[in-house]
Amino acid sequence: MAIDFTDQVVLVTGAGAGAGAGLGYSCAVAFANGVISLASDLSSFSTGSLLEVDGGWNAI
Amino acid sequence: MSRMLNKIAIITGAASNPGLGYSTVMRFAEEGAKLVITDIDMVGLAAVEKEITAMGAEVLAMEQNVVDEQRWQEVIDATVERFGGLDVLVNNAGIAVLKPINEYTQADYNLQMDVNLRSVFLGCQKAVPAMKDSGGGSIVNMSSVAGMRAMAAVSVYGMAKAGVQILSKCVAIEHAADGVRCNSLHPGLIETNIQNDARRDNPEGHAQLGTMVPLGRMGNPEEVANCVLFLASDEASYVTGAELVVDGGLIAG
Repeated sequence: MAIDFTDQVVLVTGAGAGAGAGLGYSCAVAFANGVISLASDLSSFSTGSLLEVDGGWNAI
Repeated sequence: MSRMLNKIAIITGAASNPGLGYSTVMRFAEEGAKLVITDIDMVGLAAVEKEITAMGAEVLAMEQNVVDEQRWQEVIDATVERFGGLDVLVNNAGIAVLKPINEYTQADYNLQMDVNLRSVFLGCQKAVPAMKDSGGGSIVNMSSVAGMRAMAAVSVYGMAKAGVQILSKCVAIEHAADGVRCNSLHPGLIETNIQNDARRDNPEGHAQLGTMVPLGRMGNPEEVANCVLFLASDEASYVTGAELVVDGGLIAG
């Protein structure tokens, strides 16, 4: 099963060009990988959870 | 089809179907990984090997007791010899001995801590050098929500799984500069062989389990495997020292 957003309606806020390289912009343009993973049906049993994407910053 | 293309991955506890290891093997095979699958159950492992070979995956199946330090090194060496490196380790093998504290024997305790925690330490310890030689890698350690929330009859299991969580963070910090990521994954109530055993032993109690989950059901192994795949893949290239909970919202409250 691949990541598949076919026929899914996606609302991304903060997605304007003014967002620059921020997460909103990356969502709109390239879809941040973690956002894709959590948004897709592949994480169908993951809810109420948090996913840190920080290069280990919060692990210390 | 290519999220794990040519990635060399070791998955322990791969034989039990339905199980988290088996489902992870299937997902990795679908995404193009080269697989080393291990288990103590060689009959079950041979069936998995046959199934993914038919899918076109390259696979090496090895008998492995994950508490055996020497065998860990042999698995790592065989992986490097067969495929030329190591990119991913999924420390999945585990057991669940669930009983009240006053009923635990020392043997129960030792077995559970060995299989669920010491084996993960050994796997990380032995895999990191091979990953460094490969230019980096990703370790996914199977923990549990039982390592994050106290529950009755889960004491030693939860202790071991909590240990897996902090071990994963330590590995992440110690080896970030080596390009080795390490994360823990925390499933909740998942329909595996362990749950099949629980259903057989206590069908009425087991039937109530799904109602405890905010999503209203137990999860299936494929839903966990999809999250293992994400953490193992380059899509999670900035995720290390983190824990991903896959529990239908069980411990969110």
